[in-house]
Amino acid sequence: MSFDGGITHLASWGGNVIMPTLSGLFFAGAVYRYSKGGAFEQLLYGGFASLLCSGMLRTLESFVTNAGATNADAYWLALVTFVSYVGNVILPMFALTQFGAMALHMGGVLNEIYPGSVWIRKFIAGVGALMVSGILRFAESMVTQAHGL
Amino acid sequence: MPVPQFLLDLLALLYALAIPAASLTLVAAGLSLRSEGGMNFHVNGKTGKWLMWTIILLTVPEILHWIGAQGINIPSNPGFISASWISTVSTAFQKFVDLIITNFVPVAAAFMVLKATLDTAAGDNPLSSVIAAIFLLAIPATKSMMQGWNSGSDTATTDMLQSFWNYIANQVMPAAAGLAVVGAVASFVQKRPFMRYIFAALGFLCLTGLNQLVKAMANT
Repeated sequence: MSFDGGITHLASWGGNVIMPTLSGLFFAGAVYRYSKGGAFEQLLYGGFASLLCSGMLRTLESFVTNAGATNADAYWLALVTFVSYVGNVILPMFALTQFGAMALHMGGVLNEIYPGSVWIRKFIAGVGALMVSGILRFAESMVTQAHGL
Repeated sequence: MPVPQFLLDLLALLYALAIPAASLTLVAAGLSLRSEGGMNFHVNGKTGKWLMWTIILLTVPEILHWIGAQGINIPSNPGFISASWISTVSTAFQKFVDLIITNFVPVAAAFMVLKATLDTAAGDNPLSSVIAAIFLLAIPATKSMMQGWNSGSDTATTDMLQSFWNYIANQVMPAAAGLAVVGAVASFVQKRPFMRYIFAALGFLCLTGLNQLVKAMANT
């Protein structure tokens, strides 16, 4: 057993065993928070992020590899790539969700059936509580089928 | 004038004790690492000093050779101890070190694991103790690896320090980047600051590049 091997195994255990297991707990917490009308986004995104630890590390590694790890400008270039990734990949995806919400508001859908109303929220929370395993499997399948950009 | 046999025996004893003593300094470094935080070390702290002593002990012949090369007369390594009682001291010390490594260190690591669970219960980070436990359990492999870095030249001590830095920067810290990503997700879920972990992971992954950057800043 070597020190670097031990640290690698520890990181692998945390990222590939514990965090994906905890993601189920995070999704369950998100459903409960949603049922109470509380902020549930942190737990929902946290559930996805828990399934993506390895993917996020590979993404950071690709930023550094692009820059050349031994290059004096490696950190700066990795940050530039990171900022570019946020600006050109993450934000356009966020824009799509905003346009979707805009379309729903313009169509008056959210005026007729307001997702924040108590009966809708309770119904969705009840369904969500019954299918947390399904939500987790769905999230896992999305992560498994995700491709590098 | 010939060197008295007693002094030659003492010299051989010192040579014989150096390598086993390096194991003990590594044990001290592992215990100091936990007391200094586990995930970090203090500048000029005990961890660094014990690691430095490990490197010095592993390169004693090369250091003495360098001193000899400066014109100071250093008797060469006699290679064996003629006096049986001195030889017994050497053997006993070797057995003591073996006892520490095979019996004491795994127990100390187990107590670190216990400490990790108690740290978690107290709301502290368990990684500090876990990393120290891994360090302790890896001491035989670490020592063998460090012996492999001995270039055998007069600058073996600094060469070994250089290799040690390369090992930390290129083997250990990229693995630590994985831990930083896990820490970022855990902090995000708990609504704690998490971006510092992402920036730290980037830094861990390009430590050599950062070193080059600082060198370039200093040289311009």
